[in-house]
Amino acid sequence: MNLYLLLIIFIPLCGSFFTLCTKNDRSYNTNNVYNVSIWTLSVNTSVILYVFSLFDIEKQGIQIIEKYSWLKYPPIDLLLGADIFSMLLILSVNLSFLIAEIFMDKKIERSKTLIASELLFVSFINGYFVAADIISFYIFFASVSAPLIILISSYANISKKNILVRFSLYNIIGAMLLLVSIIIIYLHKKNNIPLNTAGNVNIGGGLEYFIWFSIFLAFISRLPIWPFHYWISAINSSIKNPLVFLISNLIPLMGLYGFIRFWPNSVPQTISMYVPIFEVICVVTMLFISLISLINKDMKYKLFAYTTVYYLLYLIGIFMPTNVLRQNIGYSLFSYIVIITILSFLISHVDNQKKKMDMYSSAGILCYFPRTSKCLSLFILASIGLPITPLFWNNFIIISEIFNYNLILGVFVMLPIVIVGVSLLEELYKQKDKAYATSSSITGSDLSNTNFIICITCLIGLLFSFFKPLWFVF
Amino acid sequence: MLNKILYALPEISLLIGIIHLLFLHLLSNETPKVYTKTARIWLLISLFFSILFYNKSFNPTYFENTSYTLLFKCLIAFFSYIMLILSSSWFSVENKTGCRYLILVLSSIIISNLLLSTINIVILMLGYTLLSYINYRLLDISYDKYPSEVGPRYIGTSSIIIILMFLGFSYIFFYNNVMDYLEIKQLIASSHNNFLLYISIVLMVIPFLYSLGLAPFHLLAEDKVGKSILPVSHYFALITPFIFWAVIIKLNVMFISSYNDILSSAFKVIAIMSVIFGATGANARINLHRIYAYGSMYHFGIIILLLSYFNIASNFNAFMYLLLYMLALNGIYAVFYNLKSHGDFFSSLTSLSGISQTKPYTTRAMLISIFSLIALPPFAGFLAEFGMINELLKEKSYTYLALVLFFFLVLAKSYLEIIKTAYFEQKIKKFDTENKSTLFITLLSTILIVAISFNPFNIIEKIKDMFDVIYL
Repeated sequence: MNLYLLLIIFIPLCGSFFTLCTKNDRSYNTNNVYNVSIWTLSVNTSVILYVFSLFDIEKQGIQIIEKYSWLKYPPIDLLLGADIFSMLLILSVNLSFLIAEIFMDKKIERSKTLIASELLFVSFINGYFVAADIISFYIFFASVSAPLIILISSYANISKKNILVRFSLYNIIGAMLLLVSIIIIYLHKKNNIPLNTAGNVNIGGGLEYFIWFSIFLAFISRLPIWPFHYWISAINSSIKNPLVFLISNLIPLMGLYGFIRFWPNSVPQTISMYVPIFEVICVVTMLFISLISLINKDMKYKLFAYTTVYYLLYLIGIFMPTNVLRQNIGYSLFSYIVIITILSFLISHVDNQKKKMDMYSSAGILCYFPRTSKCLSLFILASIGLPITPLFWNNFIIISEIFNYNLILGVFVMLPIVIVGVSLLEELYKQKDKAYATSSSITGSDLSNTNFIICITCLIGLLFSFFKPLWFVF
Repeated sequence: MLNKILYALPEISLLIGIIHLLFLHLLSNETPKVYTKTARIWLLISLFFSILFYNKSFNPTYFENTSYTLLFKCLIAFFSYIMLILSSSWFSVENKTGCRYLILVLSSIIISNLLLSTINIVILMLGYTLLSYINYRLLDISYDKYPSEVGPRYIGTSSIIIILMFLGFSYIFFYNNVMDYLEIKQLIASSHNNFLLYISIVLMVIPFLYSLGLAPFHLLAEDKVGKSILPVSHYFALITPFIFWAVIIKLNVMFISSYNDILSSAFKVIAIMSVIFGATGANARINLHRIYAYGSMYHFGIIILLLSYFNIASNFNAFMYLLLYMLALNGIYAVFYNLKSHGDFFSSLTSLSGISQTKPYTTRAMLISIFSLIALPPFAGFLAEFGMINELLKEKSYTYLALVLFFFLVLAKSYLEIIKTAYFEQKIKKFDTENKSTLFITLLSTILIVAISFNPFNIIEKIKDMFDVIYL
């Protein structure tokens, strides 16, 4: 029996445990925890790449399945399964955290908590992506809240004390709704059913409405869509640590993935008539956030607006009455996650230098740091659709499909995409503009050689993906 | 005769333990560690004999030991053992021997063994009365640190409750001349419409609901854990609930279920009241012990709600809910023993301010226990929540489910406030270094909370097998 999928969950979990067991930061080498995490993520990434090699890339659907007996009363067996789409997401998340570990400033307070929670998050999110039955799917969906609460408690801005309570309550409500729906399905089918058959459950009556609306709300609670938009934007604006910022930016990915997995073929008939209303809400949220990003001067907020708009674009793509987009969304998400990881660290680096140089604004700051400037420019261009990454090609297909489905919807989806793009470029231009640069005191430091090489390597990797999305599979 | 003595060894060994402690107290002046160690050794010996003679009893007319009773005896012994280790550190810090406390705890365990095994309402009545007296003596331990007005209030209200219980008992015993559980069941079957019999049964159950602090009998529930010293609070939060729930579940299966058509609604009303009062009360308190006391009221409300369905599956789910909740609460109490500053143990919510900066391990342990209480997987509390929702949906009790979940959110808010205080507030106290044994117990409790949800060695099925013996 294969244990690869279990291994992908278990390795970061062990890493998290070992991180907690490393010698105390204050008295010993601070690199201990980082070494553990880098090794853990490297080993896990290797296992993921090996699992990819077992796949037939021409084939659709789940290709590896593992079954584990859990409870006899009530009878529950857990099913893990992976297809190319889920493996792509796992690879991108693990790669992102590996890049983040290398990029990170090693002198952070409470690094043990940070790294252990990060690895726990990676373990649970890997589990979420390979969960192939409704109960294990719920377990991983809800369990991610634990490391998130720890990280947000430890690293969110101290002035926003109520964020934690709100964030946790939103998460608990979402998880609770999903749990109730899943148990109703479990009782109806008298068994734990595979995830891809959940969309075809026919219960009938008000209960079916309740199930789908609960599932819908559960996933929406992880996406920054009205009325759940507040907590995620409040958290993002209060987090200074780039790793925690990255993690909070990955929360919507869970909602998105939930929609993809629960409705693999089409939106269940029960709620299909409400899809246009939902699309309008998505578009309004996209427009609203993109316009705010245009006004807001904070580059981190602009990045958050960018990620939100793109997540919503993928969400609208999922709701299109076609099956062909799923693979495109997978390829696009792969580059998208890598790009936002590097962007969040580059933006953090610029912010730190701004603080070091005691600058009021970051205008012209990139003139002091040529390597940072190059990397930031390339990655911002890549993020908004420079045709060197699969993001360009796959997003093009998704947007074309939306236009094909509804012209007005297409126009309103395109508009916020353009606005966030302009907003990012405008800020980049300001930061690169020599007119603002003052060479009086250059106390900051440019991107280190290692980080620069990583940025370039990632860019080359993404370029390969542009020509062949699964170039790393042999 | 020898057989009877052998089968009574679990209780005899605890009695010897009490005498041993008394001798130690009279003849030498030992440290609290020696006293607690003595109590723990005798507790283990008692447990050993309980396991050895798990299905034997020294008087089969009045007592019946089964796997069900063994299950609860093991749980009570396990949680008591942990409590004794932790209390040792408290008594050491306070410079007290703790002998009286230990003697009372061992006495309480003897009574609990008898209450669990008995199949006779005379023993039930006497056992409950004795246990109430022991609880009163425990509440009386204050070392002049806290105003001990709880003790007199407790004995006052308990007396009224015991009188009510006696009235119920009198009707069943003197009027109908019945005292065996099975005979009562037959009596109910033959005169189901007898209103006085129904009232008598209700009067026999109310004392247990009162002792568990379920609404509207929650008069002293928060004071018992909120105003007493930490080891006594620990005892009331973890040990007594096990004793009383074990008895209620047994009575439920043995004869209360005969009135399921009428009592089901009464149980549901009590459950919903407890859920509402528990969740809202927890949000209105700033003392940690009181917050958890109200939390217990909420969780016990759910247990009684599950018991109100009077079926095998819901009874087991109620038991599992109790067990998993107690595991989480055990973790919380282990943390309480680490919360001290300049030798003073504290219990106010604000005292937790900034604890995450100075006590990362204790804070993490507390977080894990809270995660379990708010039913986040992969912690033990998730299994309890899963079982509860599963049962309510099976019974199509959608309104109850909606109410329970809504107030669960309200309760969760109070738990999240604790996390918020620990992480976001500025440090206002310098915390003392943790005792090694309390740290070990904290770690053990945390591991248990995580491990049980993985169902190692099919432990849940084994527990179910032991529990289901009650139906034989």
